[in-house]
Amino acid sequence: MMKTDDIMLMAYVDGEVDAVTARELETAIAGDPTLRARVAMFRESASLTRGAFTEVLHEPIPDRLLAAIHNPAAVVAAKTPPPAEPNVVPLRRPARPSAISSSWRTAGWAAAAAIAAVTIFAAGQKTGFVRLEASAPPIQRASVSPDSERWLENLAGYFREYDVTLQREQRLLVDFGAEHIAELEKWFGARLNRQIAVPDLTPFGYRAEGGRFVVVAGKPAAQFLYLSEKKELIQLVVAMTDLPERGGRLDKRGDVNIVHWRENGYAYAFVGRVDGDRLWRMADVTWVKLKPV
Amino acid sequence: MTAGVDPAVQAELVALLPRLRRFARGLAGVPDQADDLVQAACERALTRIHQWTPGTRLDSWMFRIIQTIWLDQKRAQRVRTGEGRVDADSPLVEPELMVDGAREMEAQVTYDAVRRAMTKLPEEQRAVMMLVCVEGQSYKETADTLAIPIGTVMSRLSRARAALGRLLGDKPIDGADNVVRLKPEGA
Repeated sequence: MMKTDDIMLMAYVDGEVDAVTARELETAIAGDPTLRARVAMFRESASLTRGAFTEVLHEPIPDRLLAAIHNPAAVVAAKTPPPAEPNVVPLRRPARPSAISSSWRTAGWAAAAAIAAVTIFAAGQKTGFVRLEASAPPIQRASVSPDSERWLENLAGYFREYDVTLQREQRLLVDFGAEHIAELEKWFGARLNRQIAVPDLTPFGYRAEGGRFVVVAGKPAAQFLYLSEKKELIQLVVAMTDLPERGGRLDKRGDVNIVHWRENGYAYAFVGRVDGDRLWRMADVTWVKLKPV
Repeated sequence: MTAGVDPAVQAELVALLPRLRRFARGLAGVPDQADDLVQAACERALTRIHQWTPGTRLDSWMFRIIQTIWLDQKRAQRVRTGEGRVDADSPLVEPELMVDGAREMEAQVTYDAVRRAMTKLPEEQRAVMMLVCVEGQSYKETADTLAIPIGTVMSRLSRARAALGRLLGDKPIDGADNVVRLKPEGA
């Protein structure tokens, strides 16, 4: 009997009973503290559970999941390193076969971070942000290459997620809004172990709208979001990385452009649908300010 | 193998990822395991995309695949280890993997407790909780998604919520008269 009552009460709370039954139950509930407590419990358990799992919706999508959808064959191949006969996938074999599978989970952002690290350095600081051919040592390239692919996909995937929310709901998901830029800089600076200044993109017609704290390869990373008058989105990611410095590079994933580089323990990426050369110029005028001091 | 997958379906799957991850998180508790589930489900779905009927709900189909893989894994694990439920006391959420908004600390504490409590529920109950309470599916939709009778949905759900209430150390459910604010307060 208790069980039946519980199920009825729960169905009432969930809006699963007809109007007549609902009225009868309401009368019964109003006159019985025990039933009221049960009803409260059913309501609360639902709302708490909903609240407890909301945050995950706003987490960055791991690159491996995007890869599983866009490039399932490669994922399968990476998980089970192919035998000698390469009859499955044209995946470049890594120098250390275990590298891919063991790092699979964290490969995404880490790789990204690593990769992102493109850079400037190589280029020679005097000339500013110049596009360089990557000249990373072969070992790094071999072990990082597939992951960096995913890092770029991940960046583009994030960008699309944010842009969809923006276009559909006319809002951006940020932890700190534009009005708290100073606070944002301080907060990120503390987490990234460095000073950081949110780059000014107003000369390009983009205004900083805020930022979020994300995790790339298990390390803290900052994500800054900029909008133009026409609600065009630009995303800047600053992540920590152990990978060597690399010069800037422009990559494209679908209709999303990504300019990325690595410098002095940090990886950077500008992401947007804006024209690649324009994105490149943004990086060119801001990279100096982004350098850790 | 997946060469024939419609790009529109791929795009829809990508758009579903946040919700699939949330559902899997509710089942597995641990972020990495949850993402493993989602990844396995995406791979399985794409290799069996012909089994999905265009025009029907892709999200429900995916939830079911995730649930099936999850239960299969749990069964295999039980066979291997001889234990019942697992991971009940393992850390639920690895803080470093969460996006930290640095806010709502109090709510977070409660939410952490809820997520922890979820891992202590029987596996079958978690899916029902996630579909009804989090995804907002009706009992009928949940029954269809999981291919179980609607009565089973209701009994699992009520047991899960009662258990959750107890695990959260809520008020003594029976006989408490100090708790409630219900709209129809009049007789």
